[in-house]
Amino acid sequence: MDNGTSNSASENETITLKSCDGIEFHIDARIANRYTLLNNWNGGESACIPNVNGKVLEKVLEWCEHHINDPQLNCGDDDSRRRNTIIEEWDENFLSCDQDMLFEIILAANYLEIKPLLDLGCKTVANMMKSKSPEEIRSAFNIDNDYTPEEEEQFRKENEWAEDY
Amino acid sequence: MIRLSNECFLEIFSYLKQYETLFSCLLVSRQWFRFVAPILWSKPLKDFSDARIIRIYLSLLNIEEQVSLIPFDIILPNGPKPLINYASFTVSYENSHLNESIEYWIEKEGRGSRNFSYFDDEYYSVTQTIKCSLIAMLLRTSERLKSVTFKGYDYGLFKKTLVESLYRNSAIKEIRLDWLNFDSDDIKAITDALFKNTSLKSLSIRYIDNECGKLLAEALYEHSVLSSLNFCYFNLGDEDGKALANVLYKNTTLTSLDLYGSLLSVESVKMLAKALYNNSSLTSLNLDNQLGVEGVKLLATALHKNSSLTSLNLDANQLGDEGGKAIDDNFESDDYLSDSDGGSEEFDAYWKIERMLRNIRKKIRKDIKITFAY
Repeated sequence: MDNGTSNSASENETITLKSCDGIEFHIDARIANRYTLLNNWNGGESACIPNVNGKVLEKVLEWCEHHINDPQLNCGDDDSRRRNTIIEEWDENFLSCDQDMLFEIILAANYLEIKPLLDLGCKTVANMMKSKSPEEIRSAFNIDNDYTPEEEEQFRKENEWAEDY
Repeated sequence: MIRLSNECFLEIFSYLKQYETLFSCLLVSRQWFRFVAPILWSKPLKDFSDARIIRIYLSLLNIEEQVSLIPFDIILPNGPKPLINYASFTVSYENSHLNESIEYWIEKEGRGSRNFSYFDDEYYSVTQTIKCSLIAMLLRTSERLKSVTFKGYDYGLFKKTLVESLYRNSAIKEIRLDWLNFDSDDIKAITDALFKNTSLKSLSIRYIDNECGKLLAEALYEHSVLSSLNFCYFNLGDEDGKALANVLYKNTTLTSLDLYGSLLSVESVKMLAKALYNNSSLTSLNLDNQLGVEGVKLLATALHKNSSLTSLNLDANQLGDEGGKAIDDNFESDDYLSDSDGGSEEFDAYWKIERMLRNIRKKIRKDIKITFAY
């Protein structure tokens, strides 16, 4: 982060965020400064965040607070982020909540453009998919099978090589 | 139950490392298929070899690509055509990707084994012909193909598709051609296409018989995006050198020029050095190619003015082991020159250059990395 005046915030400065169901959170202004979208909203003393409810926002802010001193990631490092599939212990515990909450956190991180949290959530879900059958994945992610049986069979045949690697 | 958005799923799929998991995801639903198939087929033969993939690719050949296989009585897979053109998802092709898989496929067809038939001419022709047909198909169909490397086999079979993809400014950003048997018509076809092309970023050509430096360079004078040019083991005469120097004068996108192992005439080196003097976009120059003392001096002079270059490789090899060792022994001693009364003239000259380059680095261009071995 550069040290421009608009972005620098002292440790004691706080900002109030309001979830879509009206719950207020007083957060360290440095958190808001770190993430573009939160930053855009912190014009006034309190900002309202539509689409994210209090329960989820609390979790997201808890994560932000814990990672407040992490080094900032460069946007160009997409590949290197992806290569790194290791999840730190604190993060792993943080995300070992029920699946609905995990999904809500991912959706909120995507919506709020909190990239490292989104990455973390996606890695966790990717790990959940490992060694699952298509049917198991469908039920875990609430997805309807819209293939015709013939279609599914042909796709299975055409791609069966992938099963071995 | 909460459902993740497609945007999130796309992000999640990019973290899937195992083909097995991607395969399961592919079969989840039609929507997921659209997300996952391009990942699964982006470069499947890079990490392993499998005859089943060759089977799919072969069933995607068009009539023209099939024709070259007829003389070898190759029986193409029958049965339904694939529902999707999987080859269109390929993003990079490297020379070695297809070899082993083709051999596995041939073995499955009972047309020879890779262990026993390796030195059999017919077997070799069959594998190469299949490979060339598949390359032509990949070039024709893939809209995502970004990087391609071809090496020494029958270029004739896919040159048309390569030239076509240059014309239509396909996704290809990087082309590397090694040991290809170009004739002058091939060079003409490529240079004509390069004149029209506005998408290629990196061109690398190695080991070419034909003397085509000038023609290729001329086609790249004003190429609008080319950033890396690599002519290895070329024989560059005065005319070629002039054309290359002109690239440095006119082209402002080129940041890397690599002439590794190419033979340069004295006049060429002069012109390149002069062009470098005025160039402000090139950041990396490799002239690892017996420039001679005079050539290195000229380049060193150019560095007084040039300010964009950050990496210069002058690993010219004209000193014998003995000379090299002597430099090593005395490298740290700045007053070596005054002490030296023995040693060959050539050796003295190199030592002077070494010192000149070190001084340039010290006093004028602290940021530049100069490699100068002997």
